Order: sequence, then C-alpha cells, then structure tokens
Amino acid sequence: MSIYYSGTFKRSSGVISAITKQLNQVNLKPVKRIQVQFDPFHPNAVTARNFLFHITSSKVTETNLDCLIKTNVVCDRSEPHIKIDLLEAGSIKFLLNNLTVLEILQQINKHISSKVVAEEPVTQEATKKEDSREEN
Amino acid sequence: MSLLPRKGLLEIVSPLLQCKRFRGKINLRKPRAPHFERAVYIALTKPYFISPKKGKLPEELCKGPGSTKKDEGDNPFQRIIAQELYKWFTSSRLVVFYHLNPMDSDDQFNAFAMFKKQGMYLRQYGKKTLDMAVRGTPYETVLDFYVSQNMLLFSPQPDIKKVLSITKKFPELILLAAILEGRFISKDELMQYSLIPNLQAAQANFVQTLNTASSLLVNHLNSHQTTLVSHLEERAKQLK
Repeated sequence: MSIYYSGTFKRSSGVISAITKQLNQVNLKPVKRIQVQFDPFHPNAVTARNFLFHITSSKVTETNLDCLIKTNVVCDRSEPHIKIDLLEAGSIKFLLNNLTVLEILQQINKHISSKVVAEEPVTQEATKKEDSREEN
Repeated sequence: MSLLPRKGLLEIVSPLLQCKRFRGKINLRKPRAPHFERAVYIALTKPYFISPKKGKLPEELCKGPGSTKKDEGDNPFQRIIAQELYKWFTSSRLVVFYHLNPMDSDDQFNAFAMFKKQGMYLRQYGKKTLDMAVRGTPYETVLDFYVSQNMLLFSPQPDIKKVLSITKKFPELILLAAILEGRFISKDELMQYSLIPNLQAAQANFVQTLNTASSLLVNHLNSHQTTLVSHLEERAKQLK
C-alpha cells in the first residue's frame, strides 16, 4: 500500500518560473548596448535565441529605453556570445557554449542590476499637510 | 380489458383531471415533509454517480510533481495543417526563416499585410506541426534550427530585395536562413543573391568579363599611338 503524495503542492512551473523571477529583477539602466551574436546552425544557438527573446520583452526594455539591443546573425559556425557594453567604462562578455538562460540572467542580476540605485519614493506627507491647511 | 365494464369500446375514456394550483406562486424553498412512503420512494430512486477515482491506482491519482499532462497522440487537424505546410514548402520558390522577438499583434498583422501586398505569406507554425510536415522529406534540416520562437515566409517569386526591405521595417523579425529554388542558403548567401542585378544587367556584366582579355590586348597594342595623339592634342591646345 503506497502512501499518498505529501509535501508542498508547489505552484512553480519549473525553469520558466525561475527565469521569470530573474527577469523581474533585471534592470538595464547601467547598460549602453547589448550585442547578441549567434549562428542559427550552431547547436548552442538555442540559449542565445531564448535569451534574446526574453531580453527584448517590453518589461525589460522599459527599464532603459536608451539601451540598444543588436543581433548579429553569422554563418561561420562560431560560438554564440553576448557582449554587454556598460555606460561606465567596461563591457561584459558571456560565452554561451556552456551556459543556460537562467544562469546568464542570474549573472546579469548579480553584476549589473545590483549596481542600480533604487530611487526613493516621493513622500506624501508634504501634500497631506497642504490639503489640511486648505481645509482650515 | 379495462374497457369491457364500460359497455363496449366506443365510450370515450376521459382521464381524471385534478387541479393542483390556480395562479399561485410555486413553492420551492419550503416544501412540506413528504409522506413516509413517498419519502422512501424518493430515497430509493435518488441518483448516485460513481466516483471518477474508482479503480485507479495511487500513482494515477497522484497530484505531486511529475503528474504532468500526457501527449494526446495524433491530432487529425494538426495533420491537415502539416500537409498544407508541406504544400507551401514545395510550391514556393523562396522560403525565409525568421527568429521572432516579442512583437505586438498589431505589428505582426502589419508585417503580414505588407508581405501579403507583395504576394508573400508570413506564417507561424509550432515545432510539432513542422515536424509532422517535414520529417522524412528533403526539408528535414529545417528542424535543427527551428528552436525558440520562429516565423516562416513563403514567396512564390524569389524577390529577395522586397523581402529584405520589408524585414528592415520590423526589427523584431531576425532573418536566419532561407531556401531559394530548393537550395538551402545562409543569411550571407542571401545577401549576396540580393545584390545580383536583373538578368540583362547580369548578361552585360558577363559579356564585359568575357571581353576583358581581348580589350586589354587591344589597349596594350594601341598604347603608343594613343599617347602620341594625346600629346599632340595638348600641344595643339597650347599653341592656340
């Protein structure tokens, strides 16, 4: 007699949930330009294409409208790679031969999104005081 | 038989009519308790449904991870679409493969409309449908790079310049490869083919290349005479 399933009934749908979670944290403010290069016939081009699909979604591009995303399709069976040029000096290069999309996004969040300073929310106390003065 | 006491069979047998209610409201919320016999009858005739879990093994009933949807097998409608897709492959002289980035449906429709005006058909198919259509045929290699999101463009005429000009307007469509006249070509080769001019210009170029050898020879032979003539002309201008 086997026991029934016990434990949490998770609502996670696997890898995509993890990718979505990372994407929500991605902030491209320090990025000037993203160049994605891949050869469609290369076996590891899937990673590049999936990454490109996720990074060009409206939510991610809205974090920085000035960031250019350039795609370079080559035909020389070279390894796919991503080059991220930052606004401050420097660039980050991801070699996609042995990486997954989730790992790339995690690294981006670790190195790039973490640099973004969160804006302080505008205090509403001042406006409330003005309202009370007007009523009096 | 019950008709015999009624002196024959020609008498009209009217059913017993008993009025239940007259223009009153129907009482559904507070029905009165039924008579015991009636209640017994209702209880005996109450419908019951066999639980869908009956007769199933615990592993079938498990709702934990791993209890995913199973493949539903062959779908006849999908097979019809796959056959249509194969017909598109064979009947069009130019087939272009795009990678699709997230695109508004409005933009997608605009792209479809622009291509349609040129007589080309922009289509989106799933991998399973394409697999059904193309496996076992010469087009099987398409499946290798049909990953992530894709779009297909079918053109009865191999008009590469128009394709490229419309593609430029939609940055979400990224050209990957193409099939031209049954030959699989890469993006670079497609660009090269687009630079080839029309037939007459190509023929003129060809004629020129054929004539280069002989024209060079003629130029070399006449070089001394031409230089002499040009010097004399200059001198004549100076004297004027």
